[in-house]
Amino acid sequence: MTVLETLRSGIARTGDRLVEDARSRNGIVFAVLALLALLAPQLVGGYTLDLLTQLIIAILVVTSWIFIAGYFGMFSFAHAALYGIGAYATALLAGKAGVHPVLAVLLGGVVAGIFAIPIALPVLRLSGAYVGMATLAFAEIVYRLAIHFRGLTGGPTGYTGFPPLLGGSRLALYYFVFALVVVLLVVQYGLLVNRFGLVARAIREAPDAARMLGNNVPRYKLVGFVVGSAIAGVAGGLQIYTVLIISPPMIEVNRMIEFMAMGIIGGLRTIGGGIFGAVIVFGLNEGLRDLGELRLVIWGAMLILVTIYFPDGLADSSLDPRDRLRELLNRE
Amino acid sequence: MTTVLSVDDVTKRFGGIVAVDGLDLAIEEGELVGLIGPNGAGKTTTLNLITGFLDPDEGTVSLNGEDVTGASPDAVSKRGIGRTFQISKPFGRLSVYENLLVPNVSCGPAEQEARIERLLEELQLEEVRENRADELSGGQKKLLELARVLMLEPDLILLDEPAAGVNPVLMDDIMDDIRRINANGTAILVIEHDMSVISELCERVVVMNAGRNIASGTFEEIRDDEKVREAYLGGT
Repeated sequence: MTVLETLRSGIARTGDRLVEDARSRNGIVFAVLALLALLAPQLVGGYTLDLLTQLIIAILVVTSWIFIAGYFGMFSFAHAALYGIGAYATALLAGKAGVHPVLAVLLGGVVAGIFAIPIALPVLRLSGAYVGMATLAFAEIVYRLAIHFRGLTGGPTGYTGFPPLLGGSRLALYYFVFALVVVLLVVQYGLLVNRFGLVARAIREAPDAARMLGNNVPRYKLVGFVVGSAIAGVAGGLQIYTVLIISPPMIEVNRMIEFMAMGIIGGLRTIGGGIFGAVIVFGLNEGLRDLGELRLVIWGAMLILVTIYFPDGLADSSLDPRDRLRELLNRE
Repeated sequence: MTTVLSVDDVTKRFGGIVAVDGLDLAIEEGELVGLIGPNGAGKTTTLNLITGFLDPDEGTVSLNGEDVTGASPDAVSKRGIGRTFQISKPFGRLSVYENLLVPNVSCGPAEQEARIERLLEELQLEEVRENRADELSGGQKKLLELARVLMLEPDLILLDEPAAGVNPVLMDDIMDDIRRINANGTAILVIEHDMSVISELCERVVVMNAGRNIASGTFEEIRDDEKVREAYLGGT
């Protein structure tokens, strides 16, 4: 098959699967959420709209982490760092190099994708907890460098010298973020319902067997890691325009743990898990903001409950209490 | 007859341990060969060296006359070698049907579909086609692995302990399948500890000990071989 034919059949398959999945429970939930998101600016404004913008960005970060960790089984801790690299790249390109902000967001993704390559190379040779350790080290290095290179990054206090996106209109920013996130969700979905996603899942289950069946496993993993990281970089670029500052706390390991919690609570088996998880954890975080640090205890508890009672996350589990009880009783 | 696989003077060391020591092994087109030897003889290491999971320190591996020493497992697979693993490696969360889509076949989608349907039927996996692979019995997992390998229509299949963890009734079926695949012209190398399987299946048996090929012949010949008895029963 030529590249064009592969692309055409891939798009056709994505369309078929979208139609099929739209009828499922999750499909209906997502359609309702999308509709609400489209109407939201009519209902809320100001700070709440900013929060919704950030929620939509968080969805993109979590889905792109699921793309890497859930599908390929590469449990990366470097995702928030790569999101941060995208954010810094966007801020600096727009602020210091005079690149148009929209282009800067996309280039932020490219830069994150490039930075993902050196971290991907050791990850390709590692498995399990070692992937976590190597990527955690990388994340810490990025965090320290962001603080250290004061002249470039603004150091611990961060950098604000970039122009706003789309003239600083909250509404325009919201719809721009929504549209770009939907496009990137569909791109990820399209890759994952086609052969790429099938091989990714096979690699997660048994990499040696996938390789022995003629699949170039290192190349698949590299492409997966770089694509997922580039998408996180785009999310980082979008995020700075909602808060108008980029500073090291945005890429702390705490952020990573929050993204992971979103992924695990939502479910790592489907991209849709990222939507469930982001909405729930983000919602809890904001709703319980008055409780201060105590909210961390609450979502910690939630993480434990989900891993016990919904081991596949909320997106992949039946929410019918009878099913939950049955599964719990049948467990070995 | 042409030689499908030729392992020439291959050595593999792990630190101070010589796992495979100047091994020579050749498999001709359409042969069904058994590879036996006591634990630690280097059988699985040999498979890993042939399939590119390990690089030999010395010696060469060739397939159909082409040198593939040091090639990656996916490259070896594309050159016509299929392999199953000692411990089954199904893609557990994928359905049986999806498992069969994973092999990177060179044919088009219509032929791929036809092969899947034929193999599901031939290997009696039709009823479980939509089941998750980790729900299958031990024997069915072996059959699934075999089906996956057959999707690639290889010239040579390496089977690492096909009988391990399989109930005797299903094992008879698996042996019939192996014979049928071989009768269609595919060369097969079987590693197995169960001697009844080896004696029933294999026209030629190669015995390894301490990383070397110490004997080769029919099952009866190697059974009476002094060096083979020594290897299995100890003594020097």
